[in-house]
Amino acid sequence: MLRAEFKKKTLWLAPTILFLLPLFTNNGYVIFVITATLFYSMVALSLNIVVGLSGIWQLAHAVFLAVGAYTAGFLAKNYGLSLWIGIPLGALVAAGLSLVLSLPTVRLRDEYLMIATLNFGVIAQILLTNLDGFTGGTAGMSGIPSLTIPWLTADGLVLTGAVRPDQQYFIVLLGFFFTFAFAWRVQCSPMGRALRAMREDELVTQSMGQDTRTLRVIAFAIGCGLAGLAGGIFAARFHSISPASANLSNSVLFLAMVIVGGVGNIWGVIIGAVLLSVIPEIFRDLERFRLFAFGMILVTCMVFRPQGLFPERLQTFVAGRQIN
Amino acid sequence: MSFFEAKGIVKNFGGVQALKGASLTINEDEIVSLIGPNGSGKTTFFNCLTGIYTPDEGDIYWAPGNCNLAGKPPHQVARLGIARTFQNIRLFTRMSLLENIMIGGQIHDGLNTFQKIFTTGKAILSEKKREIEALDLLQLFGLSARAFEPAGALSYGLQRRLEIARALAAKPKLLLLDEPCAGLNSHEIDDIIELVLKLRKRGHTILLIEHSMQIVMQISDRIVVFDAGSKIAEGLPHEVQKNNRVLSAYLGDEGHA
Repeated sequence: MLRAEFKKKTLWLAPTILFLLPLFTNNGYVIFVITATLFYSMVALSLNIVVGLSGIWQLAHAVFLAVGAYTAGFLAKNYGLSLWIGIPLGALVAAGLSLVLSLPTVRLRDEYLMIATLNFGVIAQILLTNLDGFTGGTAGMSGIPSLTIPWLTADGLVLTGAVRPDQQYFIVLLGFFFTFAFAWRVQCSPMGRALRAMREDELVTQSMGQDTRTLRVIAFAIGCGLAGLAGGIFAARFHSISPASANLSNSVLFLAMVIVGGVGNIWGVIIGAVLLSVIPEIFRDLERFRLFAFGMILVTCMVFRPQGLFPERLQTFVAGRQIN
Repeated sequence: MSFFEAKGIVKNFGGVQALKGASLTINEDEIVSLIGPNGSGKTTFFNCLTGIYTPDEGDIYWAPGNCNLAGKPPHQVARLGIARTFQNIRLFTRMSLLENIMIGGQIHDGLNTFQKIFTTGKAILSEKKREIEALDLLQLFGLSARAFEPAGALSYGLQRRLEIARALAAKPKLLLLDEPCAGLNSHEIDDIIELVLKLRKRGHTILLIEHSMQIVMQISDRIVVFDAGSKIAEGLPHEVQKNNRVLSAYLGDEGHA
């Protein structure tokens, strides 16, 4: 097909442009917005594994992000542990926490699961606020060190004249590509197929010999672990994290990115994340209408295009090879 | 000991006794039909056999697994070699035909979780093998031209075929078909009958629920009749046809006078 050919030939463009971007612009603001967009894309991709691929509708994704961030920050600040170790550890802790949450919730479905995870989020936020010793209380944790790429430390990218922000940009970019590759891999794998089948019809999937309870737990842990990774990178980029980042409105924002973009479609989800992070930046002057506009977008989308802007397509990859 | 033997299965839903000590045996390479009026507990019986319901009483002896299936969860029953279709077709409608079949083939892949998530090592080979087997199966069922369409786009009759193909992909030792001809036109019914006969030639053991006597007479080696939650008759097709209890169950007490 012509379109597939075209896609194959142009696909390498996107990562190249993203990598070379700091060469073209010195504008710190543009870089900042793109960094934030990449970060949101990471989170949306991780949530897509849970919601889009597996049909586990949950409202606590921001909590796992915060847990990853707090873990990495805590270890770096108190024990001087390198963020290169701290961030993966944060991801593991987030995945571990998801296992704990799975214990009581693995039998719940749909709106019951949403209410349970919503409550979990509320509890988590109270804990993050009140465990001052670990988290720094309401003010949150600040002074988290930067994640530095060893061979880039001196002056950042000398080419552009800009310094440290560029390096941070590359780190977020690295995290984004890692998350993307991970999500892609899961989607095309035998596990991904089983997860989609489970989302379509859980009982039948069981009758096909799949232990859906285990599948749910694994999918949830993968998504939450990747959210924890994004959280760690967030902490390293913005040097601080507060309990507010774990709140419900963030979880809903992430969910909205997945829904607006296209539940289950990796590319759609990224576009959803781009839209919902860039649009608020463009209309920054209308800040006070933000929540209103946001609600309108969600409702409009749910009414007129519930499958999202870019609905899920049929999977045509087997063992990493495109068939058909 | 027979290949498959369910004994004294009881299943209650609140005050309603759906199964009152139902029994059934199946021998290897046999096609057994389970018939009975509406509400006689056929589908409930199927659900008990496949682990979807846990029977309140009774044992289900399964020779290939040398175990009692009663109370085992559905995925374990499936792994022990029993696959089924559903009365109201339940395909993965938003997945391609190929994927519908491949999910069936994933049952005995022997992969660990890591290999399943990342498609590494053994998983690459097993996926390729599964793809080939799935395409073969689609060929056998005359669906290969549409392998990359969503299952939901198929006509009702073809969806029925696909569901049987999906169950076969798991390479079951016993295949349970829940009303494979329900809702089909006469032409499609002939296709299904032909298919079932083809499967018998390939040595599959099949238990099927069916309403239409005409179909049952054509394809079964043996017929078991349920009424009001228990077995009322069993035998060769022409024997069952003349059985008084069967006639009264279907036609009412005076119907055969």
